Amino acid sequence: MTILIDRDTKVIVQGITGTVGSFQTKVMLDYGTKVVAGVTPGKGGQSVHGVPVYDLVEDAVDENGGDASLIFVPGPYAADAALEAINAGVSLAVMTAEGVPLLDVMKVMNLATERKAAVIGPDTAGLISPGRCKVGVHPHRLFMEGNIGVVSKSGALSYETSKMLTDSGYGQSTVIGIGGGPMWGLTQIEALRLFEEDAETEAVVLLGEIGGSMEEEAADFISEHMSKPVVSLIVGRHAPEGERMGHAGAIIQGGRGTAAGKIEALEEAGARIAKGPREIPVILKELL
Amino acid sequence: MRLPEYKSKQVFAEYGLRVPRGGVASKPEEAGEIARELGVPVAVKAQVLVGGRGHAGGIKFADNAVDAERVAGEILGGVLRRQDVDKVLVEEKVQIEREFYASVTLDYTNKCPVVIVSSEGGVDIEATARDNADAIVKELVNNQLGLTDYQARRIAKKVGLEGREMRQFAGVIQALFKIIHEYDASLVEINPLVLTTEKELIAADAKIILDDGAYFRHRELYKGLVEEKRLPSEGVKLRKAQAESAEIPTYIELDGRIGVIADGAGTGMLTFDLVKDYGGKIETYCELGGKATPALIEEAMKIIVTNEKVRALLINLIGGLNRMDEMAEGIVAYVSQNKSMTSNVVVRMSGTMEQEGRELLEEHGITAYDNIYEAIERAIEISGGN
Repeated sequence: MTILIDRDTKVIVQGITGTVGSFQTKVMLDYGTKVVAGVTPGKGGQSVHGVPVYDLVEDAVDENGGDASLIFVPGPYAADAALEAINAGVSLAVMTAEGVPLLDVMKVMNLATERKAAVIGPDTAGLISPGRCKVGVHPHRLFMEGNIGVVSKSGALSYETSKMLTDSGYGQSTVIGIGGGPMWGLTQIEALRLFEEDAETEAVVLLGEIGGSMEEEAADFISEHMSKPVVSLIVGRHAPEGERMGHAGAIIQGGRGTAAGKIEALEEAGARIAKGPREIPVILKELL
Repeated sequence: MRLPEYKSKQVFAEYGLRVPRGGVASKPEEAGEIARELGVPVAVKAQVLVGGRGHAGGIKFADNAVDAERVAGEILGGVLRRQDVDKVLVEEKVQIEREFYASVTLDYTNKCPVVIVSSEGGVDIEATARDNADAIVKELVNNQLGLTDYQARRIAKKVGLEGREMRQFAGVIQALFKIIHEYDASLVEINPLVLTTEKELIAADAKIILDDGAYFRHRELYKGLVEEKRLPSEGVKLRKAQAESAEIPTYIELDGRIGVIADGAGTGMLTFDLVKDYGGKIETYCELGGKATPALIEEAMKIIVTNEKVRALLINLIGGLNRMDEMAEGIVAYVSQNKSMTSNVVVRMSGTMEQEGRELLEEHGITAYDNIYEAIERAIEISGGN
């Protein structure tokens, strides 16, 4: 089993005719992802790597089906694209763009709640169930099918960690990048819950970072609801206060959002803490 | 982006909120002139974007124009919490009867705006939340309905106001809510919101934080704000300005010998942590975001290396969206122009189009590492050890 996506997930790519959309579609097709249609307003009727392109998501879904939409539309238009996808009935919208206005993100999240759709992002690399399906931009050579669930705010940190896991013989069930924040659709808690329920996942790696309080909330969830072992790496341990470290949400302000606070909460909740990705497989070996 | 207080107050005034009469000065004489025109005791306030200005000596009071000129002279040209003070706001001192706190911000958990008010203004709202939670009223706003008038009145009632003052307070909250929407702000805050001895509500301080993700809807406003920053001349200020104009997402200078470039926030922070763990000293931290171009990484290298303190440049790339062939192109463009730097550059490369990227680097005398730890050790060694 995997979470959120599997071998049969039908994927729509919004922004498929752009440089990034087209390149990543090719990579996903080669990986075996069922990319059934693409959407670029004004380019309906064309095709990209054999994938038919439509003007509207609803037309793409009507003719090909569509479970998930991967959105490569730039920030200013990304929320509209997500609203369109959710209204067309996809159950999973993956928003890769950075710089989506927060007021627009709120509208997307409100509609998603109403339609019971999941939103991943914004500012996310997407998700991958190695060997089966990839709805994202992961360098899949670094991943391997297996039993470790990974949830990360940062895409690149999930690649780094998965590489270490793969090199040590630990494959992954699903790897989810939830995005750089400061507003998230799917949260660490929801990912943990899905991994807890997933029969294939034996342990979960939680990759967090400074800023906000999501890791502390995840710690509460771990202590109350997780029976599977959790290993966590929190980055930004040495980050200077008041500096935004790349992600919109990654900042320590007024002594809040520190790595130390998150590490303490997670340790108290029973999670094991790794200082770097190298320690993660070592800890897993002790636990499994 | 955070607006300075005087700009925030200009926005407030557009929305009918009362703010103290006053003006902005960049020279002590100008401050004196403003105080003379006002003809009343004034507050002289440093226009810096940091909290706790008062405690740091950034707010002073003056009874007359001569005093105002003198205290402005003490504040202007100084540094407050690492920020240069080049402007002061000179405004009439308000006569306080009561102080409130009022803000509208975005609730990231509930995905809607939230109004936060308190009967205890003028102090740190987080401290109030911790020590006297009962003094805080929070009200979530339905995105479809917006902030209804009755909701605003209910909030005002909850902080203990009645009659005309209750209606006035409700109007203030409505104005803040409007600013959130029309300016794409993520926070609009008044602390303190003063009820004067004349029973008027007046915004003694003002804070607006704009959502940078929405800058494309407010280009003129952003342009004005950037132009207003003093033209930087040299050193760190110049490099920061160069990084900003090159649209490098994150550029931070600290105190050390290693420059770090990463192509993701998470791996960037990881690199930062591990370099420090292993005893390396970081001078520059630079994060390129997930959509870097060859030109962007080349520019980042150029800017970092103009800083003479940097002895080793550690480039950690693990690309998904970023293509390693493109990153290699940018690195090569830089080292071909600066051959003497080649031996100071340590590259770790993994991910999308990695093979193509490695080959290109190899042709120019750079062997990319695959393992992040090995790359870090090498960079520390080149920088002169730990």
